[in-house]
Amino acid sequence: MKKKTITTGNITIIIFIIFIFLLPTSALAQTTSLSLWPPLLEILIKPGKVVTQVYRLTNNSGDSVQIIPQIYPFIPLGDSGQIEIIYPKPESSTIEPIFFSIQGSDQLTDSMTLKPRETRELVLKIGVPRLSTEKDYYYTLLFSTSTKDETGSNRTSSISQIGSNIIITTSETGLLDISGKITQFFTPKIIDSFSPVNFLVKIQNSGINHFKPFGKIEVTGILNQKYGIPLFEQNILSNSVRQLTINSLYPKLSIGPFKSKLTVSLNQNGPSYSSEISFWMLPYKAGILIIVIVLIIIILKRILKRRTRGA
Amino acid sequence: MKFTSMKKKTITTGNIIIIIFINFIFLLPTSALAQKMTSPNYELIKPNLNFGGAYVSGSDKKLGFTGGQLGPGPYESSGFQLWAGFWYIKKIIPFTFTVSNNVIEFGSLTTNTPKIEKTTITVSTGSAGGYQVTAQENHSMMSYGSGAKIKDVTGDNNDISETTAGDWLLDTTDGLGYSLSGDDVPTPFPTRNPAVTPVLTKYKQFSDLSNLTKSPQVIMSSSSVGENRTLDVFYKINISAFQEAGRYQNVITYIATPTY
Repeated sequence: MKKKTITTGNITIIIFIIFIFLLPTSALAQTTSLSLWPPLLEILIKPGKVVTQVYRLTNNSGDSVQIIPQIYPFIPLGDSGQIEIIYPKPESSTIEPIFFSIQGSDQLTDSMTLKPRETRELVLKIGVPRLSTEKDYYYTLLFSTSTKDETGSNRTSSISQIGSNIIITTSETGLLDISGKITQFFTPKIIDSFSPVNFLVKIQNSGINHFKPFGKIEVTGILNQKYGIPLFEQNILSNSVRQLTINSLYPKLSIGPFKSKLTVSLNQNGPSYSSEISFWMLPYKAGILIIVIVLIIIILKRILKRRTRGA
Repeated sequence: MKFTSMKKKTITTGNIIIIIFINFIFLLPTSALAQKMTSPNYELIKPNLNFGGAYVSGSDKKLGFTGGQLGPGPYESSGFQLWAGFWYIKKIIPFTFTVSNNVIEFGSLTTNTPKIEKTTITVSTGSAGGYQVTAQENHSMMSYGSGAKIKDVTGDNNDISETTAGDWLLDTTDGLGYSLSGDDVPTPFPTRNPAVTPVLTKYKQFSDLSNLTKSPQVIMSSSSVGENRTLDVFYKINISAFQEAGRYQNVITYIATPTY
């Protein structure tokens, strides 16, 4: 009787316990995948006003994920439109003067759980105090996953944070302080006829408000070739320089001298600036190849001639 | 006989050069005719053209609103104008950030026996113009029970930091560091080539945010639109014979932000 008990119930329990301990520890490693829209929010607002914006945050993974919203100021990093988030010092956790809150949350940083494949619409409320200084304020709204304190083996856990940038301009009148200039307009002096023409344009913002320069690069050739490259209206933040992303030019008849003129307006009512450069398009790579081929032909002919004479 | 020789010489030098030159002129790229002035993801549009899809509300009214359009009414009365998204990108695709596994288990560590584990990061900029991903650690690997730490690696030549990559080839070099292989990586890390297994020689330290003078380091960045940009982050860990026994852990934070 006793023997039978051991071989059925107890064995089942033992197998179950062993199974529990053999569960793969790697199952702890989840994939986190978040999507966010919009990636950029720009606001021109009077001091004392409040606006709201809906953000769509999606958990693309097959697991629930706990999300914590955070907001930090940022400054431009480099000249390609990248940012450096400025974390508050431990003694001050404030990001004044702008007030942020998420509708339905007591505090901005209240955590929330997104189910697998869930898209949540979050309403961000942005308030500007009546007495705030009229200037630009730059922030990044971050949605952060969390990590659990778990005992285990030697391990590195990771937290994922996805951000969206917020550019706030406060102004009582809506009139902005725009000031800037073209700091660089460049393309190589000689460009191969088989290569595209790539222009380098850098614009400096020396004012207290950001602007989106618009304009174009006009290119004319000696054979009456005419081309235009419109500029994308990219933000240039206060006291920074930005290299604009510009489409490459593929001229139809890519030979001879060209002149190019960059015309930029800092905004629709702002001042305009222009800069001119010239360049040549020559098939120098193919030309070198042809010269090499001709030289080889001449040398081979001479060798054959000598051999014929020798024979 | 003399006349024949002269004629032959003329054909084989000057004429060949002229023929090649004429052929070359006709071979100038005609395919350029088909090139558009816009890239697949960019298209210049007029500033007020509707293309967005967010909702906006003021303190006194709620409005359906499309990104890229100027705000409602004159500024003096509404008190705000608002733009969502990028004016020059007409697609409404969210910015997406994926980290393949959020726990890296190193298991038991043995002296002078380095272990390498991998996390894969994927970014799709969607409607954002460009992006960057930064990395930082909360502190070096720590045994929470004793407070003992596995130091961040300093490399075979003692030249590795959070900003400078250096060689880590020796099994006697101990610490925690990372190497990268993928799209849009900073130098000197290799660009992704699916056909080739990356040779990992250069490593960096994770920026340690318990040291207040350190800031997160960029591990991936581009000023252009990109879909499924992928990066492998290789964690390498090794301990010395003097390492105190314990379970060592830390947390790495990856931050993906779009350009402005």
